[in-house]
Amino acid sequence: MIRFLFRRAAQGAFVLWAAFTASFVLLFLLPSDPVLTMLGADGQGANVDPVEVAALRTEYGFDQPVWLQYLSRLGAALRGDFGHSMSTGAPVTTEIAAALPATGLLALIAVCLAVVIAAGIAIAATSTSHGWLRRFLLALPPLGVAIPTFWLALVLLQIFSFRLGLLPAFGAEGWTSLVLPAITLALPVSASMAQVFASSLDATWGSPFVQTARAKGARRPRLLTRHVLRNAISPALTVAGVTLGAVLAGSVVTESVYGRPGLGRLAEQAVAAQDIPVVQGIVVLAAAIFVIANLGVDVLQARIDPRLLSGGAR
Amino acid sequence: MSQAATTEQPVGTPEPVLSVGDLAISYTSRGRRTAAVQGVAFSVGPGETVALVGESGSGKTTTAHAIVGLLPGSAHRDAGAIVLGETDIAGWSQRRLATIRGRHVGFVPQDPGVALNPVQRIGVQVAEPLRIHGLAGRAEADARALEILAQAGLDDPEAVALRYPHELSGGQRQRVLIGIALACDPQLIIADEPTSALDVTVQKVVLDHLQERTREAGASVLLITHDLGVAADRADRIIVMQGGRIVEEGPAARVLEAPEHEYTRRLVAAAPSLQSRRLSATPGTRLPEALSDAVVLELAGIARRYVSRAGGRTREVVAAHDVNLSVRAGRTTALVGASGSGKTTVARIASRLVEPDAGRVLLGGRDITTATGADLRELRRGLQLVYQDPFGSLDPRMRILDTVAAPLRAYRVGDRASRARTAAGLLERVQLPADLHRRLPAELSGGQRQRVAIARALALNPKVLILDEPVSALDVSVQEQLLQLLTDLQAELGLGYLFITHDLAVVRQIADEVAVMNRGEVVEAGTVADLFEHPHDPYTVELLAAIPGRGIASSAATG
Repeated sequence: MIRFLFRRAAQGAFVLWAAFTASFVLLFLLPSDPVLTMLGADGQGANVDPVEVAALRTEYGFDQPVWLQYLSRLGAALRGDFGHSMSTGAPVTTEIAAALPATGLLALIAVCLAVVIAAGIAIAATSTSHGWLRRFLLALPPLGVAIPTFWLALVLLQIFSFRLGLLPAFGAEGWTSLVLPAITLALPVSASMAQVFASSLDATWGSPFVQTARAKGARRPRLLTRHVLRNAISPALTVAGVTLGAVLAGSVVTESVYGRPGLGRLAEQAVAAQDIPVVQGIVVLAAAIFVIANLGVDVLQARIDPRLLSGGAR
Repeated sequence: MSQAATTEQPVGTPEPVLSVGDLAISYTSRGRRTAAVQGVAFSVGPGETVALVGESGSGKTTTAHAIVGLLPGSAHRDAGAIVLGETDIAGWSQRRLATIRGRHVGFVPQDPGVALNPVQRIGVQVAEPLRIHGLAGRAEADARALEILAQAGLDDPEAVALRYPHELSGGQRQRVLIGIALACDPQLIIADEPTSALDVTVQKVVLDHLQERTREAGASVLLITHDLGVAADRADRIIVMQGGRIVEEGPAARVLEAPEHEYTRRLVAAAPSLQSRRLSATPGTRLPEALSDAVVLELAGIARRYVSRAGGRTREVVAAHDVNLSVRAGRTTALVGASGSGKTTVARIASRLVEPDAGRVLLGGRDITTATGADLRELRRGLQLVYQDPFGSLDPRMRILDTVAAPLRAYRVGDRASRARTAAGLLERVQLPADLHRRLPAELSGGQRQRVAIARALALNPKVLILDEPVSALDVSVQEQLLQLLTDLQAELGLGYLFITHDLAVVRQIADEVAVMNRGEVVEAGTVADLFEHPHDPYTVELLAAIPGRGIASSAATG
């Protein structure tokens, strides 16, 4: 187990480094000049004081060779310092820390909601003896995958906020403001989870050990809880780990549409303003969340399936 | 169970444990209804063992599953009574049937490798039937589970109870499953091909165990098997099924010695047993003029070790140690051993798929041990493989003709049209009709697929075929036809066969020489006749004793 964790942690560290490097290469080699952008004078060089530009260049280290910039930034990042925002001047870590709780809460609720919806649909569809209900339920996930986040957000706003006036349309005041964004985020994610979980449940129901349990006299509820669920959950967990990325990506659109503060919003603004340190900080954070979530999934799977720890025999 | 019981227990004992009357079952698939079982009627008396024998598609498994309501949703019981004790349970709901299953009817499944829940500890799974039927509280059930494991002949039941299925061997798992089936002291055990997935030696031990335990418990047994030998050894009565109907029924000895139905006679004749002779080429087979019996493949001092790292421990497995073996043109050398004996490793080394740690491989006198790249590629033409599983070894998306032509394409032999002609010729040679050329593997039977695999192996005119358990997955009658085909091809083409098998009975039908492997070493080698008549090594003796159906040997020989 320890060896397994160590190997996974090392892989995670590599992913973080790769995310940092890729974002550095992409962002710092962009053709536009971040300092000019910062001064709000991109493309209108005439109005800018060259001394000021030079001072800023030195301050941000843009006058150094690229590889030196890379190394010093990597070194700083290892100490938890991602530099300062070019728009606000505040440390990147502070900016992110301020935006994280709102998005974290939203994402957590969305993921929980997604798991509940996915499990509900998958279990109901594979347990029912009515063919039509099964077909109806299994038709939902592909639909859910196909719906774009922004469209879903707008439709939900139309119905629940503007037409029915039940829930607030914008802002982050109170619990009610979380409902629509959470649903918007959760639905597409739950759809892919439900698809995978349902087919995994179907396969597990047909496996010989379930027949053995039936031959012991076990009825369906017992078969489901004692035998099928634990064996079927593995693929769904893998998808859950991967879809966390979808939740983060979805938060950009969702927070913009619903006018909520948060990481997605911060990312959107930082990209628009070419605020390179902030964008890079968010990329690395997203990678870290991804790595940690997948590490969590791996540990959970090893707990669920004892075969994974014994060198994969059989 | 015993021969004595046969005479004491005539057919139609007054109060049978199970009686099935006029059972008819059909499957519905894509709106089409196919009858699987029709007019099946039989009974099982108290303490009696009845074998339901037939090949795949005979309806034997459907019948067995129908008794306890384990049929899939696509199956439907059209008619018939299933009387357990004095109650007709044929119309019962699943919910009601659950009260019977495990409690009054125990079920031993087919493949112990997949029949236990992989993520649940053994002890919990053994205790489960007791808990389901309310026969014991949690603590009591756990204690009973340990007793059951001890009765199952497993050392250190406390430790086994805490293990997971993958930590046990196949034989151990089947003992656990037998223990589960007997946990609630049922009157009837249905054993569905309980040992088909196990090695012969393990099969014998497990069947002995099943026989012993059911006798102790006084339970009746309905034994489903495709193996007439197993039925002959274990059953009081035999019921033979074909195409969903019972074609013959009677005391085991009578059915085997004087089979009345034509199909039973064919089955008995096809059953590989100790008395089967080496098959000879079908009369009329074109024989080549000059038959040389030069050594075409030779293995000298082959050794190979594997290092496995499991759970942080390093374990070394000797898969082969100083193995010497030769194959002659037009002759068959059989390599026999249980799973894990190293025979497959030797086959892989012979075909240069695995590198030996030591030793040499000679193909047609040339040392190919160190050949690489283009040399090796050219050498491989002379040596082809046929695998055990005809389902896995054919590309499911490639048409049969293309599959057979694939090696020609890989070696750029001829053009498209000539390759198709050659492939068609090969398919004719393995007696597959031309209308199968455009089919996909899924549309063929197991025997047909194995013929395709053989045709493909012959495409490059090899000198040697390595046949890795080529008939183990097939029904006996199909198995016999395939062995005949291999014999004919060998005579026609002067092929040398390295025939890998765990089944000594097959060895006698196909091989000239034989080597027995155990734990990576050849423990005995010689001609087939010598080995069967004067086995020296204790392991060979054990293997010979484990062949089922010694009782039917004499009758088959005269047939």
